[in-house]
Amino acid sequence: MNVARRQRHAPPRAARWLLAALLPRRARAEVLADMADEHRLLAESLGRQAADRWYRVHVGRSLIPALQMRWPFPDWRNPMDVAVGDMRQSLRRLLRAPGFAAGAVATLALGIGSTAAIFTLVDSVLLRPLPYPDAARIVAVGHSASGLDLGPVGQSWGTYVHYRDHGDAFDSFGLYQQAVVNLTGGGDPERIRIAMVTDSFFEVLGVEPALGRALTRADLAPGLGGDYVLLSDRLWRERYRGDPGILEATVQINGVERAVVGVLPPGFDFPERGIDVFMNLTEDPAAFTFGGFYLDGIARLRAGIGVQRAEAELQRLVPGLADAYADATPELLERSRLRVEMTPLKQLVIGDAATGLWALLFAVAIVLAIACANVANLFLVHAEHRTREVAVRRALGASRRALLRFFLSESLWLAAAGTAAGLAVARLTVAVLLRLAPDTLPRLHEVRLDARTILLAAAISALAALLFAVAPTLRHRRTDFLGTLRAGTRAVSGDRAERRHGELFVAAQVALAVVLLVASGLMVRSFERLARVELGFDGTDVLTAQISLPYRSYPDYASSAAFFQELLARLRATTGVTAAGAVSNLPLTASPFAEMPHLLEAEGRPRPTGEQLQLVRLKLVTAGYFEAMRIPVLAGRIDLLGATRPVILSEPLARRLFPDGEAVGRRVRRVAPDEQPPWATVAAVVGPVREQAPDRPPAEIYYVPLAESFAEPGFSPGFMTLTVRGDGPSSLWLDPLRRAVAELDSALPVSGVRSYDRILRAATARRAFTMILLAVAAAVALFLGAVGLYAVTAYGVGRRTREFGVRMALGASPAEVLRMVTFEGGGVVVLGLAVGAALALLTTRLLASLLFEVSPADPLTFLIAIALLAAVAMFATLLPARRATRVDPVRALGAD
Amino acid sequence: MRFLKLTEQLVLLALAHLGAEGYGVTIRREIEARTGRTVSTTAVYAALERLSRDGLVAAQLSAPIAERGGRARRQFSLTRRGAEMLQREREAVDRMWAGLDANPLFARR
Repeated sequence: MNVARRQRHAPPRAARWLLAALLPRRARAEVLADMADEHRLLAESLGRQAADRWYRVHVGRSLIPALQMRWPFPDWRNPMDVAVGDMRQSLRRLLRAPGFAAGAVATLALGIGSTAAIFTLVDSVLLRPLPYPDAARIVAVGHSASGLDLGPVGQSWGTYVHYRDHGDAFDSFGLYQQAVVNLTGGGDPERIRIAMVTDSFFEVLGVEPALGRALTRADLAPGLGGDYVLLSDRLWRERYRGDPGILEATVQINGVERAVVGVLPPGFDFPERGIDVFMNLTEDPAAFTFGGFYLDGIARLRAGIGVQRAEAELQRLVPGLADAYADATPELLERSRLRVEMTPLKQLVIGDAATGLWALLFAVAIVLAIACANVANLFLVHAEHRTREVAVRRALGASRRALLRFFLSESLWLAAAGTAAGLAVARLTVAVLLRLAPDTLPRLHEVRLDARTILLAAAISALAALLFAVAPTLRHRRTDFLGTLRAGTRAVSGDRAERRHGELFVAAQVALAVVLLVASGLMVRSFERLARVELGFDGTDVLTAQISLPYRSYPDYASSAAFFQELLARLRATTGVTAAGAVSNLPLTASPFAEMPHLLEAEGRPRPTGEQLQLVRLKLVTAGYFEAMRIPVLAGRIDLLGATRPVILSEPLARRLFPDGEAVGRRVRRVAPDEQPPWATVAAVVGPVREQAPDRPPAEIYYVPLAESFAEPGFSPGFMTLTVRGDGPSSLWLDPLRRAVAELDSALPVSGVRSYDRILRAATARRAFTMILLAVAAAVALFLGAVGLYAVTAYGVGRRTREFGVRMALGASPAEVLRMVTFEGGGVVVLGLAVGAALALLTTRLLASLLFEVSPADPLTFLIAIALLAAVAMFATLLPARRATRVDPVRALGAD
Repeated sequence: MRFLKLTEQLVLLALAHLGAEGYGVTIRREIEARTGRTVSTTAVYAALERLSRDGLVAAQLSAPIAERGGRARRQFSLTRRGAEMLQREREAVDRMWAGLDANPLFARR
C-alpha cells in the first residue's frame, strides 16, 4: 500500500531523467529530492496532473541554472581574481616546503636545461634552413661515373657550359673551386684558403657583399683568378682592422696585386668556414673540355621544379656532350655511365653530422623523462602530506576542478621556476658546447638559443605541470574521505595504490637509465677500439708544416723540387733532427688539393678492363717521410734516386697488383686514356696506412718521388707538407724550420705548423665529442635515477614506520625487516632493468653508424650497464631501508 | 567586493524572513510566495552554493525530519556577514534610487 502510494506520487520519469543528466553530481541528489518532495506535496493538494505539469515546467526552468552549475563560466567571481588568489596561496605553500620546491626546481632545471641546449644544437645545425634566401631551392650539382669507379665528382668546364647554355631547370648556375694561396701585403705573409668562383656563384646563394660591390664577368683578367677580389668579413676585420678604406687598397696574392672590390657579410660560410678571399674563376673557352672534373657546382632551381625533375632534365643533356666536345666520345660516355647528381645544399653542408646529433637529442630526452618522473614522484609525495587537507576540502564540496586548480597552481610555479632556471642552464651549456665542439661540426657559427628553443622549453614545462597536477587528483577521487579523516595517522601502512604509483615511476626511471647507460657504454667502447686501431704510422712528436710555393717564383717542377730538396737537406743537418721528409698531404687530413684518383696497371698482368679499374691515391714524397712517420718498409729499399723511375707502393696496393708475390722490381704505370705513360719500377713496399680516417681500411697509395726526373704531367710539387722528427718534442724544430725557410726565400710563409698529435686528435674529435656528451648524459641519468629511487624508498619507509614497529613488536628481527624492504624495492628495480634491457636492444640499433667494431647488442656493455645500475639501485635502497630497522617499536606504535 | 546576483539576494532575504534558518524547499517557496515569481530549485541551490563559499550563508546537516521520506537535509542559515552584505546591497541600490521619485519614468503605484 505504501509502495503503491509512493509510486503514484513519483515525478514524471522523462523530465526527472533529463534534469538528473544535466545537474552536476554534487547537487543532483539534493535538488532531485527537494523537487520530489514538492511534487508529492502538490500531488496531494492539487492532484497528480497538476503536480506533473508543475514538475515539467520546473525542470524547464532548471535547465540553464543546472548548466551554469556544471560549467560556471563566466564564473561569478572574476576569473582573474581567482587565478591570482590561487597562485599567491600556492606560492606561499611552496615556500613553506623549501626542500621539496628546491629539489623539484633543480631537477626540472637539469632536465629542461640539457634538453634545450641539445635541441638548440640540433635545431641550428639540422633543422633550420641555410641562411640564404629561399635556401630550399639551392642544390649542389655534380656527377657520378660508376663505370669508372668514380664516386661523386663535380663539374668540368665542358659540362658546366653545356648545361648552362642548354638547360632550363635553373634560375642561376655557378662554379667554385677552392685553393690555398699566399697572402702578402698589409701584414705578415699568411697562407689563406680562397675560393675561385664564377660571377653567378653569389647569385645562386643570394648573397651580396656588405661593403663595396660584387664580382662581375667584366672583372675577368688573365692569370690566376682575376685582378679583383672579395674579402671575407673575418679577414677584413683581423688583418685590415675593419678599415673601410680597404676598397681603395690592393692585396698581394701569390705575388700578384689584386684590387679589393668588396667585403662579404659576417658569418658567410660557404663553401667552408675559413675561406678568406673570393676571386673570379677565369672562363677561358679554350679550356672548355669535357675532362677535368675538378670544379664544384651549385645552382638555384627554378620555382616549381623539384630536384628529381631537374636531375632528369640535365641527364637528358648528357648525350649532347659528345657533339659539343671532342674528348667526350660516345663510347666514353657510355662506359663511364655518367649520371647527374643533385643534392640539396643543406644536405651537403650537414654531411654525416646528423646521426650523432640525433643520438644526443635522444639521450637528453631520456634525461628529461627521468627528471620528470622524479619530480612527479616528489609531487605525489608532497601531495601525500596534505591528504587530510584535501579530504576536508572535498567533504565540504570542493569539486574535482577545484582540486585540480589547487595542484595546478603549485605545479605551474614549479614548472615556471624550473623552466627559467633551465633556460639559464641551457644558455651556459650552449656556450660551453660551442667551445668544446670540434671544428668539423657544420654550421657551428649559426648555433644560437632562440625563440624556438624557448617555446619548446615552455611547452615541455606546461605539459609537465599539467601531468604533475593531474596525477594526484586522479588518485584522490578514490580515497574515502571520511575514512581518512577519522583514521588520521592511525592507518597502519600507506595506501597500496600510492605505493604502486611510486614503484611504477621508479621502474620507468631504471629502464630509461639502462638505455642511456648502454648507449654511452657502446660509444665508449667504440672510441676505445678506435684509439687502439693500428694506423700504420706513428706521428707522435712529429712537427708538420705546410709550404706553398707561389707560381711566379717557382714556375716549373724543377724549381719547386729543388727548393724542397735543399730545405730538407738543411733540416737534416740541424742538430737533433733524426728524420725530415715531405709529402703532398698527410694521412688523416682533408686537403683542398684532394688528389685526383689515378688508375694503375701492372706489367705482366692482364690489363684491367673498364669495370675493374680501381683508383689509387698518388702522393709525392721524399725518402725522409717514411722515416719521420715511422712507416715500416716491408720489402725493397727506399731508394728514390735511381734512373729506373722508382716508385713505392703501399702494401694493400702491392697485394692487389701483384697477388702472386714479389712486387719489388716489377713495373707499373698509370693508365691514361690518350697517352702511354712510361713504366716505373717498384723500389719498395711499405706498410698499410689508414689514410682517410681511423675507421676506414688502409688505402692503396702510390708514392712518387719528388725528384725532378720523375716529373709526372699535371702534378705539381708546389704545395707540400714537411714532417720533421728528432730527439725531443716537436716544438724544438719550429725555429730551425722557419730559419731554414727564410734563408731560402724570405717572402715565403710557413703555415699550418702543428704537431701531428693535434691532427690525430682532430680526426677523432667529433666522435669524442659525441661520446663525452653521451657519457655525461648517462651519468646525470644515473644520478637522477639514484636520487629518485632513494627518495621513493625513504618516503615509503617513513610512511610505514608504524608497520615496522608492529612487525618488530611481534617478534620480527631488524634483519628480517631489512630483507623485506630491500626485497620489495629490489623487485621493482629488477622489473625496470629487464624492461630497460629490452628497450635498449631495440634502440641501440639506431646508433649503429656511430659505432666502430662494436655490435649494438654487445653483451659486455649490456652486462656492465645493468650491473652498475643494479649496484647503484641497491645502494639507494639499502640506505633508507636501514632506517627502517632502527625504528623503535614503542615509539612507532604510540605516535600519532 | 562584488555585487550579489538577484537570486542570491532573494535567497538571503528569504532566509531572513524564515527566521534566519531554512531548507532548500522552504526558501524557494518563500521567494515564490513573496515575489510571485518562480525560482527553480536548481537556481536556489546554485545560489546557496556560491553564498556558502563566500561565507554569507552557513550550512549544516540537520537530523532527519520525522516524516514520510525523511532524510537528512541541509539546513541553511544567514550569517552575520550575509546580513551585512545584504545591508550594503540595499544601501547601494537605495543610493541609486535616491532622487528618482520625481522622475516621470517611474510612475507611482
